[in-house]
Amino acid sequence: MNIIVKNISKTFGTFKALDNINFELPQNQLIALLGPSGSGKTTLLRIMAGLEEPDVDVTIKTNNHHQQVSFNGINILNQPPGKRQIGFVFQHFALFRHMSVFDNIAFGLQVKPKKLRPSKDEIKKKVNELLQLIKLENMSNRYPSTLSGGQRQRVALARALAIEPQILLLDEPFGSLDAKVRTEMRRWLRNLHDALKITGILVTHDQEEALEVADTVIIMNQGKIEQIGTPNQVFHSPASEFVMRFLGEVNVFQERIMVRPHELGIHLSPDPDPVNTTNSLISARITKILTAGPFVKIELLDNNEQLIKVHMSHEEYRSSNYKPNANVYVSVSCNLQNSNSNSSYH
Amino acid sequence: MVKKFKEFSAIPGFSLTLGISLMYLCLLVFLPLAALTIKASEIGIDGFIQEVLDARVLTSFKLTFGCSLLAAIINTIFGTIVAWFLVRIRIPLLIKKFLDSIIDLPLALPTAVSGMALTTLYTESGWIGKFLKDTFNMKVAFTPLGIVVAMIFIGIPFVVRTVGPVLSSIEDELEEAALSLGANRWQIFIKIIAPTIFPSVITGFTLAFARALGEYGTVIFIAGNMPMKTEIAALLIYTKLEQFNFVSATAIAMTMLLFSFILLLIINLFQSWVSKRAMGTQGDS
Amino acid sequence: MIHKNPPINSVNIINVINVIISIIAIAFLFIFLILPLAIILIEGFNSGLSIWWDSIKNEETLSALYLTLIVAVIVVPINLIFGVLVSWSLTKFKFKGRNLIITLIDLPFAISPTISGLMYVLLFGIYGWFGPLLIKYNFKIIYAIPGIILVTLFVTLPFIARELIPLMTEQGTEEELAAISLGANGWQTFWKITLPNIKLGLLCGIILCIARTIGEFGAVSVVSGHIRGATNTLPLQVEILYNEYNFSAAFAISSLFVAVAILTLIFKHIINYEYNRKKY
Repeated sequence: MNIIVKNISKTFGTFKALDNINFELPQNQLIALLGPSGSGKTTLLRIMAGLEEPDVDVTIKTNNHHQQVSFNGINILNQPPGKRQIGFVFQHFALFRHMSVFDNIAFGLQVKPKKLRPSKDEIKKKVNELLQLIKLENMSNRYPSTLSGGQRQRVALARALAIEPQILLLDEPFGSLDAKVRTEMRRWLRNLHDALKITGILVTHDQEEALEVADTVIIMNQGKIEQIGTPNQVFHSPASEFVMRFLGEVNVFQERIMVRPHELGIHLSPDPDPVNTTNSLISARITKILTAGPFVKIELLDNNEQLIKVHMSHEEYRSSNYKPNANVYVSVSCNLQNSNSNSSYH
Repeated sequence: MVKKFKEFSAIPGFSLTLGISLMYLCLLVFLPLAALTIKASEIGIDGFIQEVLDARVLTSFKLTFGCSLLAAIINTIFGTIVAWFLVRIRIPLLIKKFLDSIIDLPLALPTAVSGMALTTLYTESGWIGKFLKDTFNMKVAFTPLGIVVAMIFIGIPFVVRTVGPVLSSIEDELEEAALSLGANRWQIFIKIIAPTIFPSVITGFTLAFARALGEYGTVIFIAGNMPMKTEIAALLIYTKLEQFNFVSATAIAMTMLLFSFILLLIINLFQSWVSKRAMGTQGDS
Repeated sequence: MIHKNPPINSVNIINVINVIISIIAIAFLFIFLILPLAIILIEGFNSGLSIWWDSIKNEETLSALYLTLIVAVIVVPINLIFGVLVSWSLTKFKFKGRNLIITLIDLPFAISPTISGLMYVLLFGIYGWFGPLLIKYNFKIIYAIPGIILVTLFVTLPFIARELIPLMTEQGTEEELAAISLGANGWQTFWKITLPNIKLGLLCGIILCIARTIGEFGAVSVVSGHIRGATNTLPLQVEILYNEYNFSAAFAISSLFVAVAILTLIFKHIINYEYNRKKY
């Protein structure tokens, strides 16, 4: 009982959008497909929804289980989009502009074949439930053009949920919303997921969003999967330099050791703590201090004029007396020594 | 990998809609065109040249091309002025709406009706014809000048409708920027507006020219249709057909058709050249 | 606007230029568009309403009107279906040769009416490709109603497709894909999603197509044979009356065409206005 994606590739002309994607994940999770633009994440989502078709490998055509997008053990790859029991939320919502909110949400039920179609009253009941769920009970007669971005987003979601999909696919669901609405919608989606327990896959290029909202993060780059793991795993134990760089700012030392800014400490004297002596200190000059924000950002230049970024708490900043142009020493904090071994690459 | 003929789409109906459309286009457009081309090729090059160089045919070609060219030039000048007037000059909204709508009149009125109306206006007893006769001793109806008048009439929408949208799409910001940089209005016109609308003016001219070349209904009423004097090519095709002279009709038609295609080809090449140049200088936006 | 805060000394020059442009533009439109329109209505009605009415209800005129309407009833729906089908295939799918098809659709715009007529004579006339076959089965196309219908189909072929293609290209395929992912079939997607979105453009195309269908003169003139009471369409009837110096009757019928043309222009204006209003 899980999601299986097996041997999926996609080429557009000469561009390889997806290069043999394979993964298997348990259901009822919220999964984030994270990657820069052009990494193939949206293409993968569209292939799962049936809006795009994967390259067909002629040599394996005899075995129809070789290439799959399966859910609950059923390979849906050869089914048309409407039969896949998938709810797809489009990046720009793709609401039907000539239909009211009510009709938009009811659409999936109204187009069912006569035998399977619920009665008018049942449809009405179902749509009203969904309107309650998305907290837009009073807007059922409004048209999409009169709704705000966040409201459109919720209508698009309700429309996809109306057909009771087994899996919900969301393409950059917060991409076209402004910053404040984005964070609100993120929390709302997470709560909705916890309440409905529906399997969801969302595509995003925003690492903060992926780490905050998802149970599992799939990080993609250039058509390949770089890493699959929980937000904690991918952030603290990145499997590749790409993942390390993509999930946050990094400092690179000796062209191979990568350390995140918050893992570095600043000392006014070369020998602050005897425990740390195994780690060589780097002498550097402070060039810029930014104190506006949740933590303090300090930029320094070492003797080779290479930029070093250090993040620390306001508390720590206040307890010391760092000034621009001061000469200081940068060290790796001792309590993070162990996990750092994971983030060094050749 | 071999590029596919069609990209995948989850939307159904491709083969059905394209199939029926292609069949329809084949029957209605391709087949008649083939008939004309094959008929023309049966004549042979010598026969073809002989038909086209016939004095009456040659005169009608000269007349048609000359009048069309003159009408297209007049339309280009006045059409651009009208487009400027409709887009840039503040006039009461109702008048603007009326004048803007009436631009398309030549496309909405049957050509025979417009031809009759113009003839009535320009004969020696007509409103305009009488005025021109009395003041300038000028004859318009039943002379080549009448043909030009008819061709101006049917070509009006083409220049106005190609220049107008371009003129209204020039952003105020662009001009304000130029003003703030110290340009005067004449410089703004020469350096900003004129280069922007120039491609659409040329396109409008070509469309009006092409339309005038093929026009039949409007012209035959006002032209007088005297062989060797006021007989246009489209009418000559008709006359040859009535005499069952298919060879001659086909030769004239094929020449006209080739010329129209060359004109269309020139517009397309010109437009793709302009858009490529615009992409090159402005970068991606 | 560029009229905002101009330097004081340039105001007068700008105003003078604006006035000159306005005068030239209005004079041009007046002479070439408004006067022709006025003369039709004046000539049509100047002998009085009863003469106007007599000219309309003349037997030959009525039979020409009847034929014109029959042609329109056949031609417009066929080109409507074609326009919708070809626009669907060209805008909802990406495939090779799209531009070639668009060129083919545009061709009737570029071909002179008499050449259009000639092409059909070369195909279906007694000396044409299918001439012997048609004689054998005793079926007449040229100098008969089928020929009129065929050339009118040809001449008005681009109108609806040309309105729909840009509109549907701009609207893209997202809404259709959404409908399909929600389980709608192609037919439901077309009727419930695509059609409501293109209805204004479609209406505009239909109106232009009707106006051109009932007004087509040159091409129909070549293939009709001008048989009075049988193969005369209304524009041909106008010509005949005019050539017989029956001006008041010719202009009376023309006034009907003016009414249709004005309706067409008003519709077109309203539709364009609606479309722009929805867009912004």
